[in-house]
Amino acid sequence: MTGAERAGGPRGDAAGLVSRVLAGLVDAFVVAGLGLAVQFGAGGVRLLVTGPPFRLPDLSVRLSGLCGWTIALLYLTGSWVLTGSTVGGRLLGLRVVTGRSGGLPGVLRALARAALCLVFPLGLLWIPVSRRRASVQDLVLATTVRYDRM
Amino acid sequence: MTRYRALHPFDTAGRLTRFALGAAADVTDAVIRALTAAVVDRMDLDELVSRVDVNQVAERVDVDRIAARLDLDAVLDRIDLAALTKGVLTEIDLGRIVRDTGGGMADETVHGLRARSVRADRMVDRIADRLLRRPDPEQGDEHEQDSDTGSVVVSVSGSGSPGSSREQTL
Repeated sequence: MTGAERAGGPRGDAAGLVSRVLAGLVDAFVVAGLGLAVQFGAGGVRLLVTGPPFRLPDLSVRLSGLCGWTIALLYLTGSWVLTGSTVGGRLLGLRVVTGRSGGLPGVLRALARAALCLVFPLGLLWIPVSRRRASVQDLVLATTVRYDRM
Repeated sequence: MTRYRALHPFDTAGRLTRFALGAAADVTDAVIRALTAAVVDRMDLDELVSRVDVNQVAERVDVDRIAARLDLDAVLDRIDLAALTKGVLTEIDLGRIVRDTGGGMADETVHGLRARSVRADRMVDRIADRLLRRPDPEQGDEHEQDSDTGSVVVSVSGSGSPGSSREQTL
């Protein structure tokens, strides 16, 4: 990312810190909604199997965290593999592509990127330092997040 | 007897008189029509109408009296208001208008959000460039050291448009 490219039209350029943080926040809400839906689904299944009353599953903190982490992992991986965009990314007009070919990331790369994003979200803070607006995850996995719908 | 009636002088005179009067009436009608047409042709009707004070005529019209004589209920009874309303709504396609308006507002909101986030990204970049003492991006330096890979990045500007620059990592 050269200086001239940074100052130019956004479509196709690497996305900056604010856009990606906003997209991440939207995705956090989506994952929370998915977790709630899974809980309601589990409660519904329990209602069908054991009968009333309807109760949400009472999970321990560790198990709840593990479930949420798994949901987020699957959500991010599936979104990046299938369309290159999560809901937040789609809202902000962002797409994850591989560094060399510019195509969508494969399953393993997307899975690793999702895990890195969840384990080390502070890696986004490297974006302003990087000349090509790369986060730590992008540097490790050779991916780029680009403005796609401007 | 019949011959007497046919040759009766008064009867014959009466018939001739009626015939003459009928012919005279026809001629008179034709003359009057021709004269009227000629007069109308020569008249400037626009000027004549312009002399009429329409406002004065309108003031004489009693609208309330005319409205009082109207039986609106009977008129409305003859109209199928439900079908008429349905037809009007179908014609203007109100649903499409609502959909277009809603969709347009959503698109505008999303586009505004994206534009603001892009501006915020650039602002963060400028702050980072200033803190890291990097050259001003607007100057488009030819050779710069990539802080991520350590490789030299050559910037090749295209047709002068801002978004047309390319970079090659050496």
